[in-house]
This record gives sequence, C-alpha cells and structure tokens, in this order.
Amino acid sequence: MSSGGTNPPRVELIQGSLDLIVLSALSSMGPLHAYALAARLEQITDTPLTLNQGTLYPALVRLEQRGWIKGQWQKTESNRDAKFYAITAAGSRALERQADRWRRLSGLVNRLLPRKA
Amino acid sequence: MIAGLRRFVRRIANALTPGRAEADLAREVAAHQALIEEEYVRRGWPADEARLAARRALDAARAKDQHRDARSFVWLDDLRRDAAHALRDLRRSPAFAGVAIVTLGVAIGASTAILAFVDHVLVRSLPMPDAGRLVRLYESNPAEDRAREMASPPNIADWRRETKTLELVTAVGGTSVTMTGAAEAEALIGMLVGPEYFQITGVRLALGQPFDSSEYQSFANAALGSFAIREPITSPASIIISHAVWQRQFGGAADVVGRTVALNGNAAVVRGVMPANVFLDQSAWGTADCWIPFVESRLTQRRFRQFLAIARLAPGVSVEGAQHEMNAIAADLAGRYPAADKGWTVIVSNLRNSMTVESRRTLLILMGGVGCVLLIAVVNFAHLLLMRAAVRSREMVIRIAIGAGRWRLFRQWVTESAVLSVLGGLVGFVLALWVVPTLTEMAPADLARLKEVSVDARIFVLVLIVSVAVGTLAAIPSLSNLRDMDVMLLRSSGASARGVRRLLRPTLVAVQVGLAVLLLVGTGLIGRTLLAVKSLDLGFDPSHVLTFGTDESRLTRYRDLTATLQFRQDLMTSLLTSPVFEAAGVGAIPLFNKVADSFRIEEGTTSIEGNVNVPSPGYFRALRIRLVSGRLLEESDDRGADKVVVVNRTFARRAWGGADAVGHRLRHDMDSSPWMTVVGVVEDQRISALEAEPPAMVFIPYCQSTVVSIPNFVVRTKGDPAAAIPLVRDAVRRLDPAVAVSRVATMDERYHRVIAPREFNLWLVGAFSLIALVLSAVGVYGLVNETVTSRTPEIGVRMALGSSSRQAMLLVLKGGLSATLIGLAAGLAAATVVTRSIQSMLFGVTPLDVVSMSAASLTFVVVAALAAVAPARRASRVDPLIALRTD
Repeated sequence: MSSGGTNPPRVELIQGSLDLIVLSALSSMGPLHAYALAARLEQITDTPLTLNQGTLYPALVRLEQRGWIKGQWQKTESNRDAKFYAITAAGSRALERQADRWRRLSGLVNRLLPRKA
Repeated sequence: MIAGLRRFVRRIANALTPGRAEADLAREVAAHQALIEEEYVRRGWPADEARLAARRALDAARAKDQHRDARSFVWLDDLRRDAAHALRDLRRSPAFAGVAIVTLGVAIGASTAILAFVDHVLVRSLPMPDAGRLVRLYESNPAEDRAREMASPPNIADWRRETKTLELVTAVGGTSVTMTGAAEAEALIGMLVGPEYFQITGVRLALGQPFDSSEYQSFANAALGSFAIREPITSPASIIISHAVWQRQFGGAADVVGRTVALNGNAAVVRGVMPANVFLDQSAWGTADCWIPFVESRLTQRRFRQFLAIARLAPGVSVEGAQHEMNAIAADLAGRYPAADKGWTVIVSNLRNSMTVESRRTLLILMGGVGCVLLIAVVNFAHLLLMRAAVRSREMVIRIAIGAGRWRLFRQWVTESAVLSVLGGLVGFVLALWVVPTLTEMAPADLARLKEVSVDARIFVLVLIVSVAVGTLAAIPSLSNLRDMDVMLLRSSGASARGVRRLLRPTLVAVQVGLAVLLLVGTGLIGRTLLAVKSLDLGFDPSHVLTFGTDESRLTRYRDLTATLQFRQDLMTSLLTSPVFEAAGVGAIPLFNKVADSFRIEEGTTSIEGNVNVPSPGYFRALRIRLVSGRLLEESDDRGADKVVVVNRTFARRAWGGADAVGHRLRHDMDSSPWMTVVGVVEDQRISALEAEPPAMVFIPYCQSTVVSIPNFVVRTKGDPAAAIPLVRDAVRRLDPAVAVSRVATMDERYHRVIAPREFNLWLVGAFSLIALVLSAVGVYGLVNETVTSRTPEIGVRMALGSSSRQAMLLVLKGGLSATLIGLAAGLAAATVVTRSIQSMLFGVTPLDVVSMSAASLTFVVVAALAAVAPARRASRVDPLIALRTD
C-alpha cells in the first residue's frame, strides 16, 4: 500500500518493553482484553490503532506462561465474549522488579548523556 | 528464574500435547476482530468496510503464527507431527516396518546386552563409598619374576604407620575353619579382616555389629587365623557369618547374634550377619563364608605374602602421588629388613582397574564383535530405506512440485527413519532384558563384578540415543536420492541411478560381507582354541572321579600327625568296602590346588623348582596316572620304610636330563632334610593349571612326608560320581561327626569350570557370527534382487537377441556376487590385522590361521550363493516380450 505524506511514527517496541508495558497497563487499569490493551498502547505511544495489533499475542502468551498474568473469558459492556487478562501476584512482583531495573537503567543513561543546552 | 522455567515447561507441554490451544486461539482472535469491527461500526463505518478494517488491524494469520511460535517450540511441534505421521505411514506398510524393526531389534538387543556387561564391569565405580579413591597395593619383585604379589602383614602394618597419602589401609587374608554347633559340621572359608575393612567397604551388617577393637587383639581370633598360639585361650573367638551360612546353618533365626558355636573345637560367638550381597567377599581362599578379626600383631612373618592390601587415598591425593610415597617407604623397608624385603617394591593401582584387568580385554573384544553386528544391521536398514525411497519417489516429486519445502520433506524422511529405529531400539531393549540374566548365569563365575550386571535405566537412555543416531545416519544415503528429484521429474521411466550412486548399494553389501567374514574368522579361531584346550592330554582320567577335602587337622584330636594319617587311612578303607568305589586316595586335587617347593638333587648344585604332591598309593589308581619307568608308590612305603619318591617326566628331565631317574636321590631344599630315592617316573599331569605346561612334580608318600600334608581326597566311582557324595558324607560322619567335608566336586565339574570362559566366548562370538551371516545373506539377496529388477529390460533385450536363460542368470549372479567376493577379500584382509588383537583369547592356534579363514570363506560363499539363487532364477524366467513392454 502506498501512502502520501509522512507516515505516522511506528515505534518498534522491543520485546522486553512490550511485556513491561502490558504488565503495567494491567496493573494500573485492572483486567483488560487484547483490544483494550491495544487501545492503551495507542494512547501511550501515539501510534494509530490501525495496524499490528497481532504483536500483542506473543507477549500475552509469554506473560501467561510465566504465570504473571491469567486469562479468563468474560463478557464486555456490550455483552460480547472476550478473553480478559489480569495481573497475578507474581506478576505484580515481577513488574516492580522490572520497573526498578528500567528506572535505574534510564537514570544511568540520563546521567551519561550530555545535557541539552 | 522460576518464571522462566515455568515457561519452558509450558512450551514443551504445548509442543508435545497441543490440545485445544489452537481452537482457543481462533476463538480469541475472532472475538478480538469482532470488537474492532464493533468500534468501527460505532464510529459510523459501513459494516463490510468495518470488517475489512478489522482484518487489516488484526492480521489473524500472522497473530496465530506468532502466538504459536511463542507458546511452544516450533521444531518440537514439527517433530511431533512428523513422528505421528510416520507412525501412521508405517502401519500401512507392515512388512517393511516389521523387517526393519526385527533387524535393528536383534542387533541392538545383542549390543545392549554386551553394553550392560561393559558398563557394569568396566565403567561403573565399585559399590563402595569413595570408590574412586580405593587402591590395591601389591608387592613386586621383578628380578624374581614376581610382578604382582600379595603383601605380608608386617609390611602392611609398616605402610599404614608411615604413609601420609593413604588415609586407610586394610589387610585381608583367608583361612579355613571347621564350624560345629549349628545345623551340621561344615568347613567354612574365613576372611581375616582388619578394622579398616568395614570403613573401606562401607558394608552395613544385616544383623549385629562390626567387631570392636579388643577383638582384633584376642588370642582366640588369632588361633582361627591358623597362627600358632601358645597362650591359653580364655575368651571366645568372634565371627560374622555370611548371609548364606546364616540361612543354611541357623535357619535365618533372628536371634543368631550372640549365639555360641565351636570353631576348630574352640568356642566362638556370632557377632553379626553380613547382608546378602557383599561386594568384597573374595579372598585368596575363595568366597567367604565368615569374617574373622585379623590379629595383626600375631603374624610377624615378613615373608608371608598371602594378604590383600586395600587402601583409600587421602582426599586430593592421586594414585601417582601415593605410588611416589610408597616407593620411598618400600625402599626404606628393604633397607631395614633386607632378609625379607630386599628387591621388593610396592605397586599402587586403582582398585577397580586391578579387579577387572582380566575381564577387560575379553569384554572389549566382545564389544568389537557386537559392533560389527550392529554395523551390518544398520547397513541393512539403510538398504531398506533406499528401497522405500525408490518406491515413494513419485510421491515425493509430486509433493515438491506443488510446493512442499524440500527441507521439510527431508526432515520428515529422517524422522520416519528415526521412529523406526527407536521402535527397533525398544524391541532390542526388551530382548536384552531377557538375554542378560541368561548370560550372567552362563558367564564364567570368576568374571569380575558379575553379580552387579543388570539392564537398567541408564542403559535404556543410551539405547534410545544410539537408536536415534542409527536412524538418522541410515537415512542419509537415501537423502541423496531425494535430492535429485528435479532430474527424476524429467524422466519418464523409473529412476535408475547413474555414476557413483550406482555403486552405493554394492559397496554397502561388500561392507556387510566383510564384517560378517571377519566375525566368522573370529569364531573359527575361538572354536579351534576350545578344541585345542579340550584335546589337551590331562595325564589323568577325569571321568568318574569325585574329589573332596576334610579338615580333621583343625581339631585338637588330630593335631598329631599319626592321628591324622590314621583318620585318612580309616576313611579310605571304609569307602573301599562299598562296591561303588573302585579306588580311593589322598592327594592334591587336580586343577584346584598346588603346593610349590624347591628341591636339590645329589648331582646338582642349584635347586630345582617343582610342585609337591603327597599322595597315598590309591591316588594313582583313582586318577589312572600312567607309569613310565620303575614303580608307583605302594602301601609298603610307610613311616618306617626307606624314604622314596616318584617324580614325573618333566622333573626327571630337568634334574637328570635324558637319563632314567630311578635310583637317583633328591631332597627338599632345606638343610637337614633327608634324602629320598626315586623309585618311579610317571607321565606329566596338568594338575595345577589346564593350559600351562605341566609342572615338574615330586610325589612323596603321604605316610612319609613331614613337611607337607594335603587333606584332600580323590576317589574313582563305578557309576555317577555325584551320586556317591552322600556315601562319602556318611562315611566321614561315621568315623567322626565333628569332621566337616568340603571342597566337594566331581572332576568333570572342575574341568568344566576351568574351560567355561572359553565356552562362553565361543557362544557369544558364534551367536554374533550367526546373526551377521543371516543379515549379510539378506543383504546379498536384496542386491541380486535389485539387480534383476533394474536390469529386466536389458535381460529382455538380450533374450530377444538369442541369449539363453542360463546366461541371463549368470549375468545377474556376476553382478551380485562380485560385490560379495570383494567384501570377502576385504574381510579376510581385515582379519589378518584384527585377529592379532584377540591373541590373548586364543590358545593353540595362531591368529593367521589358514583353516579358520578357509572355513569362513567357504561358509560365506555357500550362504551367499544360496541367497542369490532365488532372485537369479527369477532372471532366468524373464519373458522378453513382457520385459520389453514395461518401460
């Protein structure tokens, strides 16, 4: 497909950060289904919701297999079936650990980079 | 980390048991798309465009693929699917699967059985704590041609005192005691052990406790070790009995600990019972029936080298390090005690290796043999796969044409082959489970660690790995066929290989033939060895001979030599009153015990080494020993008569050369030993060892010998000697119920025990040869068959042009048998090299034995010809019209 003008920036989310973002979203917003998660992603990263929602699925599988989230079929407000994912206790702990690590890493990078004049 | 592990397990589970994951995912993706669609509709999009947009936003196929990749292992998933597919396929061709599985099953079964032996005997560590640190200490005097000897207790004690590299040193000796006071009088073989024995072996008694420190000093225990004790014995001795003795003498009574019995007439207390499977129960005297504390302080003879020395290295010390230290200690001892230790050094050797050194070579040779069988079977398997590949080539070509990945097809092919070989491996494993117990029963009893041999989980894992490897390797030749599918597409006729690939099959057959011929030659050699051993002239007649021993000399009543002699005489007289016994004599039991000594003759200045036998006149009659000159010993050669001896040919030759020995004199090489006159010369006997040259032997009348006394009897019976055993026991019991009868065996039994190892080898290698022969014959059959099939058109043309059916047959045979002949030549060539390495197994036949090689070649040619007959006849019946039409 062709597109005139500038493409909206598409953030290539690296694997580790996608998992962290999903965990964080579930932690702050409670159980969500895949579509809702994608919407949240759009908010955070300013990317349009038109493409690539499938990238969520491997992340969801990874998190579920690690026991950090748990999926359950429920009804949405519009009474449709959807699989809702909720963060588990182990997931919360993992989130804290990962968040810590990111904060420390970004702090370090910030200190290394020259200050913007 | 646990989360990572959890995920790993989940992925494997998903790969192996996919379950409903796919269906669930489909449902979720569909629901997700529905939600997206709903959102677009809410924003006012038309329904069908909303649906399209939803599909663009969520690419279902890609999402599922990514999900699948993340939730399992793709390769494992594919493997599972390929394996399931392969199993379904195989069920549709049962003949092919059956032949492949049986071929591999038999070969893998045989290999597993041998592997079980090799693993348990050579590889695994001994079943004792810290087994890797256990060593055996030998005394060694190379100058006197005594490379590895047992050690003497005073030396062992000094080693223990001075070593820093060995943390435990124990002396283990043997003795024999007569036990009375239990079910019946029995002569027991005792193991003399020091306190470290229990620490080193880590043995846990079934009942009771190990000896305490005072028992290693008691006079009563010293007396049991047959050391002269003059002090009065005030306290009882102690023994620990074996599990078998506990059962048969005490009926397995739970209160046996603390019971008193009599050993050699003196009181002894049972301190404990050994467990049923004691590992270290072999002393120089045989399998231990009881354990006795070794009173080291009472045995001060530094020259009495009759004890095992076993030690444990201190942590961190290597064998070399200990050897280094022991060299110094030995040199020091040699300096301090030159009379006993001059020229003697110490050898430190890993215990497991020293125990298994004799079995090692045999087992490795057997492994080589079974390896050949396995290789032949794998080649057959590869053939089968080649044939199958040819049959399925059209199917493969079509699949590639419609887009199947080539790599995927290869993987499927290899998986199918691996599934077959794993099934064959399972069959082989079950076969081995059945065969190994039979083999351990048949195996010679002195094969080290025989008791431990079994087929277990570790071997199962090995079998699986080998099966998978075999399957993968065997699939490779057929892969090259698959690779040239494009070429095949262009051909209309059935593919016939060109160039190098045409030689593939005949080469494989030649390899099979070579290996089979190699095994046949080996079998021939081992068979001729057995024949050579069996045809050795024993110098006596072993049939209808019963042997046994009595230990009356242990009882105080018989301490006086006269009393002992009287007892033996009475026993022989008593036996001879029964018509069952033709002859009875006292003397050394052939193939069992020997006593070495040195002698001097009047004419010479050096001593002559020889064996001593102390027989009664009946001994010669019982064994039918042949006289060469002079006379045999007689009843008149008793205590009061002139001192006489009989010698054998070898001694006579060594002492007096070609001259007649009768009339010459000799004596023991001890000062003040009386001169004895030679009155007769007898034929040589293989009395001490079957395969060694007969030793020089001197026969001293048992009534006249004051130095050596042999408490063994040899009797000749009219009928079955085994049936006479109860009569012997009765006769002894009537004379003196306190005397035990032991070492009972017929001469035939003893003989078979000696040649059992060779018979075992022949059985095994013969079995391998047979399997190899059958498998190679199948290979030859297949080759000739395929030649016929692929050359049917050519044969048709030839016959149409006038050649006879016989010529057609010859044409096909030539093709098939040329491979066989090349293989035969290669096999014989290999045999000339390889058989040199089995020389240790041979006797009486050289490795380059023409008879064996000719017999092997002839056998194989005959079998190959038979295998080629059926397909060759098919060639002769080719109808030219039909052959030319099918193309």
